[in-house]
Amino acid sequence: MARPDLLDPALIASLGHIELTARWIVDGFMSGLHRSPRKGGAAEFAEHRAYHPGDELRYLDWKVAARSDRLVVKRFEEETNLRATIALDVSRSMRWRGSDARLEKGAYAARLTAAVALLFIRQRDAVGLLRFDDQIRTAIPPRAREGHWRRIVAGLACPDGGGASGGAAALARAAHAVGRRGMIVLISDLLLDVDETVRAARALRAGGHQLVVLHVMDPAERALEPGSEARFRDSETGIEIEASPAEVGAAYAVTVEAAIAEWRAALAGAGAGYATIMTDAPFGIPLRAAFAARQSAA
Amino acid sequence: MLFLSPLWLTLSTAALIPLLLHLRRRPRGRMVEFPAARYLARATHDHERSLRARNSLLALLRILLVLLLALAASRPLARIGTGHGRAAVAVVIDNSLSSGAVRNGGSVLEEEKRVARAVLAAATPEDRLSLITADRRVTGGDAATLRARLDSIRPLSGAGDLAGALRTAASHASGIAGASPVTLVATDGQATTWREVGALAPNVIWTPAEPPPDNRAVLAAEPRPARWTGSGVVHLTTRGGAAGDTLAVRIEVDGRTLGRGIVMPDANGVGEVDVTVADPPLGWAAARAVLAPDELAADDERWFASWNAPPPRVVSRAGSFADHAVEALVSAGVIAAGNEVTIAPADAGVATPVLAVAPLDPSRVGAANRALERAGIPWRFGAERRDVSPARGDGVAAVDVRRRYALIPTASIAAETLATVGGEPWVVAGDGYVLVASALDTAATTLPATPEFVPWLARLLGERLGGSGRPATAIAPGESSTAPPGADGLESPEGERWAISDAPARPTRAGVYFWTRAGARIGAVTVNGEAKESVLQRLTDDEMRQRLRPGTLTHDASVAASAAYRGASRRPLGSVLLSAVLAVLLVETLVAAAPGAWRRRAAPAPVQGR
Repeated sequence: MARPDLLDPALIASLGHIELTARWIVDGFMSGLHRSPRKGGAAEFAEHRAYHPGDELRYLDWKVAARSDRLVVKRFEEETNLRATIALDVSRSMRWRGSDARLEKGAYAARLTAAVALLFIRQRDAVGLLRFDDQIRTAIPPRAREGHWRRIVAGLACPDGGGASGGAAALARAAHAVGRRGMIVLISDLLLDVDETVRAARALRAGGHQLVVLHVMDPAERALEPGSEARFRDSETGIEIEASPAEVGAAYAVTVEAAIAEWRAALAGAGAGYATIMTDAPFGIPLRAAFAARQSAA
Repeated sequence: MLFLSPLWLTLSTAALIPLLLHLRRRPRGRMVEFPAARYLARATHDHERSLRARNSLLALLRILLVLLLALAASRPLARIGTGHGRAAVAVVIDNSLSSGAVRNGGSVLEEEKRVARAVLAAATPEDRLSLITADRRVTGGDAATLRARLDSIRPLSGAGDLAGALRTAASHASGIAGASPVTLVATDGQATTWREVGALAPNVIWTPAEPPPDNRAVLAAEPRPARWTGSGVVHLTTRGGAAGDTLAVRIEVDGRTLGRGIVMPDANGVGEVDVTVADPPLGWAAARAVLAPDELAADDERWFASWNAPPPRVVSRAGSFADHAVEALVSAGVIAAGNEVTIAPADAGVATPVLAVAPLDPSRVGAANRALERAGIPWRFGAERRDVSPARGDGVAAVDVRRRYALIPTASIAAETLATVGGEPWVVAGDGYVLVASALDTAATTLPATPEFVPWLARLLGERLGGSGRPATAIAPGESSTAPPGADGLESPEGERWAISDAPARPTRAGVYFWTRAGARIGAVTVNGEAKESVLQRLTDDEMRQRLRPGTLTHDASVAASAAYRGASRRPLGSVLLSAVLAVLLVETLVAAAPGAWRRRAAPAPVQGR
């Protein structure tokens, strides 16, 4: 049976709701790793409680018993490897797709967010979610419990958003949500102000955080699809331009490649990771990028 | 550059379409939601000059494409390289009667043949050659075939149809695909011919350098009367000679000289004389008037038909006017008294040959019509007309008609209308009858009281009713003539006989042709060259240029030959232009489809991964 993380994203999305499909994706991804993803799973002491018959004797705190003649067992809280926040762009531009055969950028990004969050939680990482456009729409602080993931999934289902993009503020808020040094995953189409975003990335890096940016693009944004002359409009910014794909197609492709290179270079300069994600690419590909970033951060 | 299909050049106006599309620049199209419009704006801004240059280049290429297509479709010819390209050469030889005029020991026609041979000598095997004579006869083939044809060309008996020949030549020359059309005319430049021709614009015209010779000719030979009775007179009209000169002329009938005369031309060179012909043979015979030969021998003789017959025996029962006229004619010996031909009112009962006249009393019309039917005359009298109208026709010019009947044909038999009144037939003639729609009485018409009545009656009796036949008709070579009623054959000047269905419709040789019935001659057609052919005066070079607008007008055979192929040195550019079209198409496709320099400016980033 094919691994779900390597299937066509539109096909996967059509098979079930976001929670189910995210599990398939992560399960498929994990099975492809061929080794335990759990690392550094050391337990941290949390509290004592009275011993009850049946408790494992190895958890008895013999020192306490010797001092106070009381039998108590130690309780431990599993230590999280990482605190991460996924900053998901839900601006108006994310609600677009170049073809009915593909997912909208926002839909793709939501499924990717769910999968990344599940993957991190299974790594015993604490994961939070920050949905933003020109304001913070959803803010879920990082937690490592399995049940927390359902909260994140529920947050992804919120219908709000659709405003302009405000990436820099979202990154700052994400850093605050992570608290101590952690990891921030920005999933956006990066139709943002480059300088502001890069400044925010530098600030994150200065705060000891690791930032990885997953640049979600529809294939039709990377290369203009053939068509007759038209007036192209970005309703998020109000930009309108008349153009003929046949005439400007080549120049457009060059410009987009240049913009991608610009993002890559600027984010690399700010110590952030960057990957371009096309919405027709299987989820396994961006998941691997996020996982690799997590591994280096951990 | 020459265009074989110049109308296609109008296609070049289609070049305005890409031009207008280019100038329109930014047509409003449909609205498309596109989040990455900022990249599109940046691309347009960053590459504005390149895009503009590319669009201009594309517009230019497309305009060039349309122009090249229009040019190719118009089938252009241009001078490329040496020698001459494939030519379709049509040479018109003016072998009209006047081309037989001799000067310096040779005829104009021989000079024309030399010109044609020079043209043929310069032809290549790829050329398409044709030779057209003044009678519009076309000979096609290779140079050897045409040289053989040239040797056999003789002067025609008449003017021919040079304008038609030239049009035929142009049609042949331009009808060959892939060959440059060339028309060359070798002609004596006779003014009387070319003044009647419009601007046919041949490529080359050759005319003789030498002026034409003086020419003497018999312009007309008219037997008077048309039917001789024992002897007759030929009225001759001649041209040539100066005032005070004398031209000897003789009349030959069936090869025997039966009359001689002397013509004294007037100041215009025109002379007239009546020559008596004594004792011509009975019946129809070929006759000619002959002058002493000069430089143009063909018009030194003129053919006419000698028709000698005993006077017809006539009886008149058509009233006092007709009776007195018959008596006068009998006294003059023009006719004789007898029952061979009857002049009678139709209602009195008639039998052919007859000069039937209408009854004066309208109540007799029914009887008259029945009598006509019994006599086999395919006419009947219709409604009476009582208006006074003038008659029109030969010999009845000053005649008024007061009472007449409409003449209605009862069968579709050939008949001849000799006179009309008010646009309706008044005197008709057929095989063995002449029918007058009025009585020969002054109560019906002034004809019996006019001086023309007796001669008119004499002509009808002598030429239409007395014996068989009617006056000879005169035509030019190549014209047609209508057979008289009853004719079943035609006899050529050489004695060859054809059934009427096999006879040539348009005789071309000069001479006397006889209509026959049951082997007997019943009429004649005389074929002589047009009188204008005897006027050898030529158009001046300027007149020739203005009238015909030739590409080249020359008197030199070698110049004519080289000028003929000058136009053919233009070669078709179709393949070159089509190659250019393909090349432009290729460039246009590359420019339109290729990403161009933009893609090379920025290294493409990997699509996925870090």
